[in-house]
Amino acid sequence: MTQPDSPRPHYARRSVVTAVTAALALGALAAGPAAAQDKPVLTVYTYDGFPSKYGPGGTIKERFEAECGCTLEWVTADDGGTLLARLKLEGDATQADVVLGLDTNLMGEAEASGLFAAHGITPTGLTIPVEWTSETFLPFDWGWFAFVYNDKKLTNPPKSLAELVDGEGGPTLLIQDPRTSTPGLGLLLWLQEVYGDKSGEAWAKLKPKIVTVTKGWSEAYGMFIEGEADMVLSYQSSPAYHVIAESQEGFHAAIFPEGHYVQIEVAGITKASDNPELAKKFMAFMISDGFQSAIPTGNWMYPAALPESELPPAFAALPKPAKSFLLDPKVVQENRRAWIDAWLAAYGG
Amino acid sequence: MAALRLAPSALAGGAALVLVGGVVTIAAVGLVSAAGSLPAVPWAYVRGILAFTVLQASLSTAISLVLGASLALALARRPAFPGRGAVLALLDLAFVLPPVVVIFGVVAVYGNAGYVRDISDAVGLSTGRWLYGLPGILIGHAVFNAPFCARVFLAALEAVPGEHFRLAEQLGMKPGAIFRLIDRPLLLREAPGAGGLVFLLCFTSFPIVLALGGGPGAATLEVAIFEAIMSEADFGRAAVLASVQILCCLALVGVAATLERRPAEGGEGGWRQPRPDRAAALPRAIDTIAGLAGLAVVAIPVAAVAVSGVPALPRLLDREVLDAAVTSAVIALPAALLASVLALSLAAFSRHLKLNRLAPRWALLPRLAAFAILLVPPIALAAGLFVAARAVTNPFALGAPLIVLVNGLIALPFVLRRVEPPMMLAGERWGRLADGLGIGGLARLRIVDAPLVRAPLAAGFATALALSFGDLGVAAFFGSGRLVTLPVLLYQRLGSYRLDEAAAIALLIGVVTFAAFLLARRLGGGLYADRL
Repeated sequence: MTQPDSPRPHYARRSVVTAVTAALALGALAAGPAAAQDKPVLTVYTYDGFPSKYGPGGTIKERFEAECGCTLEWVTADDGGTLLARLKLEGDATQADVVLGLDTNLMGEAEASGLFAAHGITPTGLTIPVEWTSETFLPFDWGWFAFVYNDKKLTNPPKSLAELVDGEGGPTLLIQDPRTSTPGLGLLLWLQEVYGDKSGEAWAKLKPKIVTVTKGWSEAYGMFIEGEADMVLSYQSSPAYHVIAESQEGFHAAIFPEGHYVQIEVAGITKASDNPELAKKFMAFMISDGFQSAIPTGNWMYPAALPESELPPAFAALPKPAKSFLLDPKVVQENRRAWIDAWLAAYGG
Repeated sequence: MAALRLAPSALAGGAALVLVGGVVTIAAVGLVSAAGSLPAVPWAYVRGILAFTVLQASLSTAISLVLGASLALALARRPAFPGRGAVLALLDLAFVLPPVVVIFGVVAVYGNAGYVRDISDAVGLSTGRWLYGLPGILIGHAVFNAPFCARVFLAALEAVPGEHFRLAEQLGMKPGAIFRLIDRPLLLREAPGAGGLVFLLCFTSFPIVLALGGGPGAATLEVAIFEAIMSEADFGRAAVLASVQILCCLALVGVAATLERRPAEGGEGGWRQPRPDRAAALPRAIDTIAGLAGLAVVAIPVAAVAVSGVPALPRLLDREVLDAAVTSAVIALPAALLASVLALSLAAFSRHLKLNRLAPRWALLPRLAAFAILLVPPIALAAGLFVAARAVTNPFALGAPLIVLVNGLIALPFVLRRVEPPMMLAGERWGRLADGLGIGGLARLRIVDAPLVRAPLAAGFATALALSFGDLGVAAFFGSGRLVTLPVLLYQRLGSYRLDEAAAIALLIGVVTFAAFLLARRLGGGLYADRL
């Protein structure tokens, strides 16, 4: 029996077949492995500002690759908090060999996740303000959180944290989300230290001045530069960037007599790393001159293992806080969730 | 013999059902298993989010309904004016634009580096920063929901028989009376259905709120789920929030179902009668205001995408953008294909159950499966699958297939809505004949069903394609920095304030979506089926 053959169904069927084939082929293309690498690849997760055009990542990659015979690949997330969440999401399946950009406030939680391995390095020549005991993480830089302003825009900056909090119609602020960002968490802890039980009230007073809460530091600082607010939560050392890279003297960190919270940024090796030896090599490199000398004028922070004499003069000229806070990682780990939830309730309500 | 002949549709449908049900179950189990112990839920925070979500969804719905009704009335009073076709096309375009593109349009016009700021700076007025938060969310939602409402209302207003207006004219009715007696009942009839849909869309809104909300003070449940997973890796909290969202949506759907009234089939007049209120002073003034509001909220942001996109087009040859375009196509095409195949199988299965009197009661099952997908927050679905995949393999190696799977499932209900009625119709008309002739399986699909189903299926495919092509959440979740689709790239560029670079990407996404939409309409499909 012959069937009448109308061209239409055939055409339709052929086009469906073509579509399926094309779709599958394209799918295979996307899912296929990346081009073969002959060198081992060290994957380092970090926050987006670190390997950006203005960050120290480029220099560090160049210097490390010159001695490791490997390829260093940066993979970025918004900020330190997101980094940790990302690693927890990925668990043992993570591609990361090293996670760089957590801080002491997240260290307790990161350690408890069981995703990090011991670094096995005895660090020498550390120049951080505390004694280092962690066997899982190593510090790579540090600084004080501070609100930064431009004196051409803000002529009468607050002289104390109390003035910042209480001042009616005071300067507009850009801050970061404590869930995703280490500076954001730092501010939360800073207010917690200064105000204790009354920190909720302090946040309620700050809220109307806050223009927006960003996911990460880079976004907030970018907005500050664009003129979106009078002050941005950043670091006491941030003005050095404007002096050295832009020859601008107008940027300052407001130094508060109540004291400033210290941040020590750290990195650790993942347990899931395929390349633990290479990762360890990177950790050792991290506290050597090759890495450390890129920090002051790259990440605009105080290096964790470089004598003060090697810092650019602009750093020495920066006014320093008279008092510092730094909570024990365990204390932060135990209270972080409750403090953040209280903040969310105060801020979101 | 009969059983053998009927097997293919049951087999395909059963497989589709198992796939849909299986994926949803795996996702739910994955999410709950990752949660571990019962999570600590800060109910004060959840209440805050819920209150904000309801507030913004209510306001968004009110704005969309009022603006939509005003625009529809203005258009109904003027059945012919130069550029009317363009206005209608613009309304159509606005409500199919993916949210990321809308975000770009809104930021380009009202953002801190936007047109409005430029103008106010030039005039010496300081507008400050006002967009992010509730205002941005409301504008973003109005951009596509007001045109949607306008189209629904306009269709109802244009169906009014000419006789009514002739009678109104003969009775010397004032514009107020015409509105009260003719327009208002129609608007009130359509409002619950359109408003319910808009409310649901705004209630579950994700990209608009994420991008224009400006921080934790303004979040929907959907955004909070995203935050819980992406910022805190807290699956327990995500699972609880997802449950709250599902319950709320179910309640909303229930309320909307009781409010919706089916229009009585009225005879449409044989002629068009110009409305007597077209030239009166008050309606003219109101229409002018409506037109200006429409211009500000819909036309300018949409136009901004084209206006700022075209000059930036040369830069589209940027390697990153091309890669992202390929990635988007590689994801959207198979996702649309998957949604179409699943919809076809489910529709065939449903028909099989109903028409062969096997289990007519169960014929609802495929539709329920699709409905269940509508309720599940995409991010929760993605996260659950991610966790489940993590137990077996490296979930990032599965990134692209998982995005395809989730996008295909999300699009499934939209395709099913189009495909099921003609499938049923084909079965009712020719099912017995086909059985008698012994035409079964694929041959039956080709010979009996294709003529009726082809056009709606193509339209469904185009809708699914547009949805997947514009997807931000799922791609952002699984891609996590490595798989960059066009919407993800657009979002990144917006985040780093590179508006000029974002412009071309927005235009590209908009053009592809609109092309898919035009194709869908050309191939025959209801207008409203494009949204939900």
